[in-house]
Amino acid sequence: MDFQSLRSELLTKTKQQLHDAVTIDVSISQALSAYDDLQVQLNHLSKRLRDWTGYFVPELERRISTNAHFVQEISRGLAHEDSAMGGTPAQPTQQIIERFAKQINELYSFQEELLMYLEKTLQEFAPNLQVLLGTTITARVISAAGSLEHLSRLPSSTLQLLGAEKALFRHLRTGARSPKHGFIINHPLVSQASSKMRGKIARALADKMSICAKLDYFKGEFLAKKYLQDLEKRFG
Amino acid sequence: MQPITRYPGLFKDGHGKRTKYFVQTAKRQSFFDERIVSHQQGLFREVDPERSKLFAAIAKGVSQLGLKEDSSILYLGASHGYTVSFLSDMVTKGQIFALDFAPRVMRDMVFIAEQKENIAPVYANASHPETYANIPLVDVVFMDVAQRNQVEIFKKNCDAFLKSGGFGLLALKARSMDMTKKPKDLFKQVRKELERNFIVVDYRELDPFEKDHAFYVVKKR
Repeated sequence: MDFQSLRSELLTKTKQQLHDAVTIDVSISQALSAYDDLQVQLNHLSKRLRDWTGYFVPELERRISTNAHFVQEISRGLAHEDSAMGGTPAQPTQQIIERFAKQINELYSFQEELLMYLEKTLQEFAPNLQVLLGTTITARVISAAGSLEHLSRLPSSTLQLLGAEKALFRHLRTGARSPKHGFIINHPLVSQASSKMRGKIARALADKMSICAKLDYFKGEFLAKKYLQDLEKRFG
Repeated sequence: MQPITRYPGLFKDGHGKRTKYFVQTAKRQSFFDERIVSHQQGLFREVDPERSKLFAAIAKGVSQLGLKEDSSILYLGASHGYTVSFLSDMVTKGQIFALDFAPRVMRDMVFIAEQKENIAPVYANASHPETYANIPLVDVVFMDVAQRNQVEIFKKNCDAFLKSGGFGLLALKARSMDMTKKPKDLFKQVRKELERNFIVVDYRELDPFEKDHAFYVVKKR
């Protein structure tokens, strides 16, 4: 076959293969990244809003420590408190600050929406993992592995350390202490355990994770609830 | 602007550390925002050796690559197609099979392949040559894949697709093979391993363009 016909055949085939490679895993990791990006930007913007409004309502700014709550409060209206320290905003200033707060508030609710989307998608796509690990950790491990398929092929020792690559390679290179957990550190069972038990729990959880990943990929039964209860009974 | 006669279509300008590398091109078209210089000899695209291990090896003075105007090349690990796009201008009468297995980068590669008539994309895993066995024998196999078993993959592909007397070019990333070993020791070990199957023509370390990378030029017996 001459090169040009082989080339056009390969072009068509590659396009088809790329078309087929777009699965729901892609959207899961993109949504998760969007969620993380938003978190960074929201902190940034909230800090700016705090700094700005602090000149007019210092007491309110000090009283409310949660960013989301503060933004919501301001978006309802920059109420001028009777304050010795706070300046009086001019009408346009007050308006623009309230608009600013509304925009940030909108982003906060969109972030919520992203999380709901992930939860719904995962309940369908990886029900066992979603129940065992919760939404964010499940999304994180799938995105770290690249796909649910690849995740289901990984040994549980790898699953235990997904997300702890830096510490793992430091351990391998220099002989420093080995990491005990990666993303699963955020799991309530692991994070609430005493430091002595953490490694053991992470190990046991990773085992169940491995089973659940396989169940989800091969569309098996729903057993995660039982596994979670077993773990809670053992370590809770 | 002077030609580097050892390689087809390649030119350089300047001296020492300030040397810039150019590839002669027919069209004023830039794929990666690279500079295009017009000169009385024609149009030239500037190559950044920091972005391409092949051109890093050239900048380090590799003696020969076995590349000719009409070479056919199997390129494993084509990625976004940076090096491939330049190779395509060098082997004007040749052909390139650009292989990668990551969908995200293959997407960019396809756009380039559509515009360059001597590039054909192959979406496959280099560890499984049997999945793209429809590719003909080639004059040059180039590989840059950063996998743990990259030497094994290289040998497999050279066995399957390289003509005898053809050249194999291997860009080796030590850090992908073994984090715990010293890169220099690994380079020596790989050289020995390659000598068992090939004639090792040249070897360069790619410092300072790429850290802990080496470049091997081998010839198939």
